[in-house]
Order: sequence, then C-alpha cells, then structure tokens
Amino acid sequence: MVDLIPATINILGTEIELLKLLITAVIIAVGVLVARIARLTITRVVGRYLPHETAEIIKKGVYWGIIAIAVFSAIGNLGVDFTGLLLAGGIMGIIVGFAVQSTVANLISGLFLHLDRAIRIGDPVEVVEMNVSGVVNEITPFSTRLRRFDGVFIRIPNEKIFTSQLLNFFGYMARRVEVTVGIAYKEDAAAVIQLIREMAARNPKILAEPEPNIMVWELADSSVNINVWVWVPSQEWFPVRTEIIQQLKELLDKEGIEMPFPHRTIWFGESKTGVKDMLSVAIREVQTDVGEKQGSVPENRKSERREMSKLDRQDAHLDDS
Amino acid sequence: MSKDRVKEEEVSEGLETYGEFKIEGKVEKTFDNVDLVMFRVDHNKYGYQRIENENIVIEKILASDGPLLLGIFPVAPLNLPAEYATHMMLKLTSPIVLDPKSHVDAYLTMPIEIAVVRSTTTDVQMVDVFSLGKIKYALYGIPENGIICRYYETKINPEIPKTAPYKEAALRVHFHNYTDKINTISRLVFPIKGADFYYRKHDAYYSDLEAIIESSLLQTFLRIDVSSGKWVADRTNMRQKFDGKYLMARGI
Repeated sequence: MVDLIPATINILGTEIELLKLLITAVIIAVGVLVARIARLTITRVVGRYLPHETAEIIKKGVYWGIIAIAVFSAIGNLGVDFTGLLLAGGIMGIIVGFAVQSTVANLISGLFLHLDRAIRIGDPVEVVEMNVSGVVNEITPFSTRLRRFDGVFIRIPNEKIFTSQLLNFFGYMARRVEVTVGIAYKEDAAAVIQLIREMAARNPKILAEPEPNIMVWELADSSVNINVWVWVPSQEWFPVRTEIIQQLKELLDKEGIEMPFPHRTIWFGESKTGVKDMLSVAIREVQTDVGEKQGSVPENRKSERREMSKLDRQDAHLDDS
Repeated sequence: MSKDRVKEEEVSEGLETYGEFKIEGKVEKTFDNVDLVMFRVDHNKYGYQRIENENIVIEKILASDGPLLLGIFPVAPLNLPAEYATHMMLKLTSPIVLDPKSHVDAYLTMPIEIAVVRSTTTDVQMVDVFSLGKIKYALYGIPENGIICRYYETKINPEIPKTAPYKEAALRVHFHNYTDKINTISRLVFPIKGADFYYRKHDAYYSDLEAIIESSLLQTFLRIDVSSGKWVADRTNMRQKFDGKYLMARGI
C-alpha cells in the first residue's frame, strides 16, 4: 500500500516531496478562499459607503494581493530559495518602478479620485488646465473617460485630472443663472424689474428659494443694465439660461420696452472764438455744396464759408513757415 | 384616536374623478380644462388621450389581453417638469408660534399632481401625469448640502380646509414643542416621494405629519414623521418605497 504512493515526485527534473506539494496546494486553495471571502466582505461592507468604482478597485487589489501572498508562501514551502529572486527582483523593481512610474501614479490618483468624490459618472466637468470639458463617462483605475459636449471621446490620465483644477457643474444641488439685460434710459427700471420678477415666478424651474435677485446693476453707455440672478437645479442651468434670455426678449418686446443697441451721440463743439471745429465745417461744406448746386445757399452761409477759407489759408501759411 | 370624518356636505357634488375605472367602451373624465379620454380600439388594445384646450397633448395605445383597468389618482407632486425633488416644503404664510411644552393640531394644504396609472398584480406604471396648479421648487438649506424640494405656500387652518379640486390635498399636522423655549415654525419639509394619498370623489388628502421641535446642545431642530392619515377615504397604492422621516436641521 505504501509502495503505491511514492514519497517524492519528479517535476521538471526536481524531486519534490508529495506531502510538501499537497501542503502547497492547500496553501494556495486556502489563499484563494480567503481572497474570495475578503472580496465578498468588501462588497458587502465597503460597497455601502464607497462609490461602486472605488469599491471595485479596493476589491481587486485585496483579492490579488492575498492570492499573491498565498502563491509566494506556497512556493516557499516547496523549498524554492527567494534570496536570488529577491535580489534580482529588487533590481528589476527599480527598473520597472521607473518604467511604470506614471502608470502607478495614475493608479493611485484614480483611487484618490474615487475617495475624493469630486466627480461622479454623469457629471459635466471642465478640466481647467487642459481646457477640456465634457460629461464623465467612466473612471477606470488608470484614466477618466469623458464625452466632450460635441460628442468626442476623450481619455485623460487620472494623474492629470487629480492634479488639475476641476470644475464640476453638478457638484452642488443648485446653481445660479446670471443674465444681464439692457433697457433704454427712458424706461421705468422698477416696472421692468417687477415684470421680470413675475416672469421668474411663472417659470417652474426657477427656485422660489433662494429668491430671484433682480436689480439695476449698471448705468452703462447706452443702456440701464439689469442683472437677473436666479437659482435653478444644477441640471437645469443651461436650459433655464437659454429660456430666460428668450423670455426676456419676448417680454420686453411685448411690453414695448426698448432694448437699445450701443449708440453714441456726437456733439460738434465750438472753439472759444465761436468757430466750429473742422469736422463740423466739412459736413457743412457738403451741405452747402449741395445747396449751391440747387442754387439756394443763403448769404450768411456764403460769408461763413469765406471766413473759414480765410482761416484755412492762415493755417496753411503757418504750416509752411 | 377618533377618526377625522369628512362631512358629506364638504364633499363637492359631481361624478367621481379619482379611482380605478374599467375601460369597456369609452370613459371620459374632466379636470378643469383637461379631458382624459380612454376608449377601446379593438379586442386587446385601448387608446388613451389627454386633451387640453381641444388639443391632444398625449396619446398612447395600451395593450391588454383582459379588460383594462386604469387608475386616476392624486400623486406626490414631484414629476413635473422633471424629477428634481423627493421632499415637500410647505411655507407657512403666517408662521406658527409655539409655547414651551405645547401641542397644537392644524390643517394645511399641499399641491398634488394627477396620475393615470396602469397597475397589474406585479407592477404599477404611470401612463400619464399632469398638474393643474402652479409648479415651483425651492432649495432647503444651502447649495453645498441642501435639498431641492417641491415648494408651496399655505396657511394654517383650524379645521379641514376647502381645497382647490385637482390642485390641492389637505393634511393634518400635529405640532409638538418639547423644548423650554418659544419656537416659531415658518416652514415644514417632509418626504413625499413614494407616498400614497387618500382620495374621495374629487378631494385629495395626505397622511398626517408629526412636527416635533427638539433641541440639542447646539441647535433647535424640527423632526417630521409622516404617519398614516385617519381620513375616511380610499388610499392609493403606488407600491413604492417610502421613508416618512426627516430631520429639519437647516432651519425652521
């Protein structure tokens, strides 16, 4: 009976005790079992408190870590000497460490990105340093994948995301929409503010609290500028902003309130001697030329033209001298 | 505790508009300027139309091997224009001031939406939902950690108020001030997502609220518990999860 089961077994030319081999197999099996239990526990316990992606990374890390320890323990049990391997491994580690430096940095950044909870799947974000914006599609251990607003896929290494200034447009529950509208100086600003306030009250997407803030903000060159600041659910920021601009235009048109385009009133001044400036004279020249052609230049205009010609000649003389 | 009995004379006359209806030929229901038309197309297909100001706004075909049952119910006003909120914020137009260790009962009104519901033994689905009242939302708390709530302004009533049909539901609130200080309540924030309503003819009712003022070392807060209403009325069954507790820790 004893002879039927050999004490050693030859594997690749090396005699290995069967008992040791059995213990090795048991170590690996127990390692796999412990790894699975750990993975299940993490799913149940950590999964409740951490985002799905973070839990996944931790789960995989712990699972493969335990299996690696089990495998090395098992190989050590077979009598394999790791001294040389450790030395070679150490040197290799340094080489590989340099080679995969950025990969490891991305991996750790990915983990911190999950723990930081700055972004979630579906959030519209802007990575300021990279001048990239889009919707977060996936956060993998090494990269974050965005769908740019124009539909283009972008993969950004996690390290860059983690070290960049990041704007998350869905970071908070509510956001403020800011629109400025200019009305003519002749209009009643208080009445316009009241009309805009009523318009905001009718829009179901504009929050009642915090209250809309509508105020005269600036007495600008061409218009009295009214700022409309309203709070909306974050996901409605863009639709409400476009709605408000259109509704403001329709409202002011309906109420006959002028929204002036930029314009400038040009005043032609006079010198201390009562002489008009040159632009004024030039315009008047054109007017009088037309008048002469029509044969209707008044006598006083003719004398004025003579006077101006005289002054021009004097100026020319001074320039020459 | 004795049940609040809705007096017969308080229930407006007219055909029942809420409830579950078997569609065999054609059924029409009118809610102000909204008409709901449900009719049989053939042996296993039914048509549904929502008509507003003589224009068909929604049209659907519903397939059913057996006779079609459609429910028209008051539901939590959280669906329009989109699902932003899970809670209701009732702003009291006249805040209520509570003496220390006092208990007061009062009635309020809150908005509702009207849902057309197809329910089977295994599932409940909204076929359509609409609102006849003004829709408004508000932020309770600050943008960093506040919550978006459906917003409605209401006043304290000593008795069951006459509600606007198809727009409002009545609810009863039990105010308790367990602190040693006088406290003023100007708003109530409570969960409504997944909550069932009560209905009778064209009147709607919500569950009772227990509004309990408590204080800790640092602040005074209001704890709201939504408990079953004692209304003599039918109750909707939307078969949704509902957690009726909320702690108003961001101001009362």
